[in-house]
Amino acid sequence: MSSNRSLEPSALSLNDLPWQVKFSNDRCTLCGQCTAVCPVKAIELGVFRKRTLKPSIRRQADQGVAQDVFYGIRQKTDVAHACIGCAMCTLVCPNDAIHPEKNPGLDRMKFHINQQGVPRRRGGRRNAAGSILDRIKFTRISMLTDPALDAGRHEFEMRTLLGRVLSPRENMKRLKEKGWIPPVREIYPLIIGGMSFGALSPTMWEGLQMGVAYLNEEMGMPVRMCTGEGGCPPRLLRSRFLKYVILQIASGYFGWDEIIHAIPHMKEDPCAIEIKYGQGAKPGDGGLLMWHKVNKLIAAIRGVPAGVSLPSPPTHQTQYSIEESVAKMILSMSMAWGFRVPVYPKISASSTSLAVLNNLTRNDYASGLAIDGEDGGTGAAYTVSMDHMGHPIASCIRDNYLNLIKIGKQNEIPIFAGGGIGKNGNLAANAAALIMLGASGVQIGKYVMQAAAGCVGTEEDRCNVCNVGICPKGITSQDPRLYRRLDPEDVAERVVDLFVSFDTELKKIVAPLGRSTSLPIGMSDALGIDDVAAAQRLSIKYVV
Amino acid sequence: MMVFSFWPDTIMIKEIGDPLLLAGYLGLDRKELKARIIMAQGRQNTNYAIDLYACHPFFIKGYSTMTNGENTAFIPIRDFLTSRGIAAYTGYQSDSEVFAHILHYSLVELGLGIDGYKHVITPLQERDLAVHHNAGFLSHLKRTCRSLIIDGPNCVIGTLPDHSLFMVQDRKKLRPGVVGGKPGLYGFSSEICGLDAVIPDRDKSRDIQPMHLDTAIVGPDRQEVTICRQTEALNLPL
Repeated sequence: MSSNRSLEPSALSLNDLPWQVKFSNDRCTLCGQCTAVCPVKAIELGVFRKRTLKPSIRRQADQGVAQDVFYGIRQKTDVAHACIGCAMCTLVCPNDAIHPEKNPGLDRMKFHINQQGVPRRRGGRRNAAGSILDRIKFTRISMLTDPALDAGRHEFEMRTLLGRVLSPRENMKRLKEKGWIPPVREIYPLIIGGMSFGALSPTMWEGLQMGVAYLNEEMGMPVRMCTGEGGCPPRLLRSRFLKYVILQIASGYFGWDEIIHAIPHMKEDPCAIEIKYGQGAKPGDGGLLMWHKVNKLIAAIRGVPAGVSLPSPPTHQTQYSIEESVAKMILSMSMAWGFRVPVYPKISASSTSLAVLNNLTRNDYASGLAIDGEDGGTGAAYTVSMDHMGHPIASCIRDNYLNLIKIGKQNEIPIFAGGGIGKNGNLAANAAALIMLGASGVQIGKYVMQAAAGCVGTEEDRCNVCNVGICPKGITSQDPRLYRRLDPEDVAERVVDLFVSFDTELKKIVAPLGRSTSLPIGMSDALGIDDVAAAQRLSIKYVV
Repeated sequence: MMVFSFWPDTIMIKEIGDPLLLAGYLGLDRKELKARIIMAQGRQNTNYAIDLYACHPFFIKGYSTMTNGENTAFIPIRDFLTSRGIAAYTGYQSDSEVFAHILHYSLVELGLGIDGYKHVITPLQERDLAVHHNAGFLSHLKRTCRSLIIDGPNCVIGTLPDHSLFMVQDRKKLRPGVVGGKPGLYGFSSEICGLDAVIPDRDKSRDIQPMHLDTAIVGPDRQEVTICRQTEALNLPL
């Protein structure tokens, strides 16, 4: 703009943007790959005019003004086209001439992402790098009192139970009387949490399924994956691989017409049914698949028209009380599969989680409780929900586990923790900490996208455009031009890498603690933290 | 010195010091003192806070155990036992006390035989379980008693109210343990030298060092050592 013109309130300069594209004219070959790949069209070919003065002490003719033109990259500064820092430009540049840099100052754009009165919506995470889980140390190392175990040589049994386990006496009684004993699955304690077909691209979903099948059938690791709320491809429903799948039902019931009709044709029961009541990233808010991603295929699987946004209501419409309707829903889902399939609710971590758990303890058909903490991810949500709503996972899991101990049901209702596990890359340490705080297993989502498919999202508000279907890696896009970038075979291979390396790391943690025969659920004496208040809150040791 | 007598025919003495010196002081070699079973452990506890009560053996209603080892799964097991609503499940100054209480829980509360105890503390892994004669029952037992699974290196020596004696090892058999003797007199010891000191005139070729699947039992008649392997069929309480 010119200096003598009026300014619009939302007129921003490069300095106001969260990400600034640094570009080196010396190295650029003008190939145009960066501008072509940019998912938000933040950069374009720039034609720059440069005036050069040429003073001389000699003849008049030698003096003058030269007008040069050079070509380069211009970064747009309007809100709709602000750089998201995904660095795809860097990835495609043949000459390393371009890269985005995080604005070290205050990002003023934050005040303007509400044009036309629409607050910011995005995918991704809370964008807070701190993690209490990263600060928990494993301090009870056995050395001389107990010969340390060898993570590579000894026999380990890193398995957990998903399902309602009766008390030993009650189970014995029902065995004698040939009564109904709730179904229990023995599974791997690291679960791929609910990410729907629709939120994820077809290639990503296929890759995850293939990876999970390989882990089960070739590696002997009973890994399970949850569908999220978006139904399940009909062929998978009718295949033997369904046993590796946890089907999720949420308040929109998307895809459940197809699932219910497929029940008579199912060769195997699904691993479990997860009823989603809440999500850690946006507690109290429903699911959301924005219209950009609802193409013909997604619409068909979900049983909806194409091209419309699909918001799930914040709550199940049939729900009016936890005693009555939640119990009924759990019972109905159990009944649909002849009481052979575990059914459990997933809720967002909250100070009310305890009330839910207490209620479930009185319901024999409730097979567990999945709790999703504030650091959970989402495909689409309002920024305000993601950043400010929710409860940290560590203290929520701890409170719930200690409550189960109080009523003597700690082995009966497994608690699964989700939300921000491995957010800074420390997956095994975070998972082990939560297990020792009382979780029976953990669910991961973002970590799988990062490790198995190269999601570029970080805790610094990088990328986060999962909601509008322009994922530059093709992970959360329904646009074939984008998701063709992702080869399902490669994703499957990385899923296997992730789980096998996690398994080694988990053993490297539990072996020095002298644990190998069973998963150390609730082994809180092994944990310490360098913060008095946190130690007190989590009932673990304070160590400095 | 602490002297307990919680049961009509049982005396438990705990004191710190040289075992021979203490035994001499108490005159334990007096002829009028008679015992069918003597359990002795000459060692202070090494895990958690040092406490006289944490010395072995541990006793509950006729069931008694003493252990050489460390139970790394102590906290979850303690939490499970204390939440059973059974007043006697208390104490736990030692991580080894839970062995006695698990024994009581398995045999009294669940009605298992001594052959079931090992299935509670160190259950078989999936591949062995699948081919076991009682696979169905044992899967249920493993799941429901998951919180009672011990970990770490442990050799447990115990007695039952019918005066049977037994020895079991941890899943990996990381601790020594030997059973031997002659009809009428049997010894259970961590080390062979202990057995040699007590019963030097036994047939040493019949000494048994139980391995990771074994429960060695000497019945009340004191005639022989029987070995119960975990892979064998069980006497079920069903």
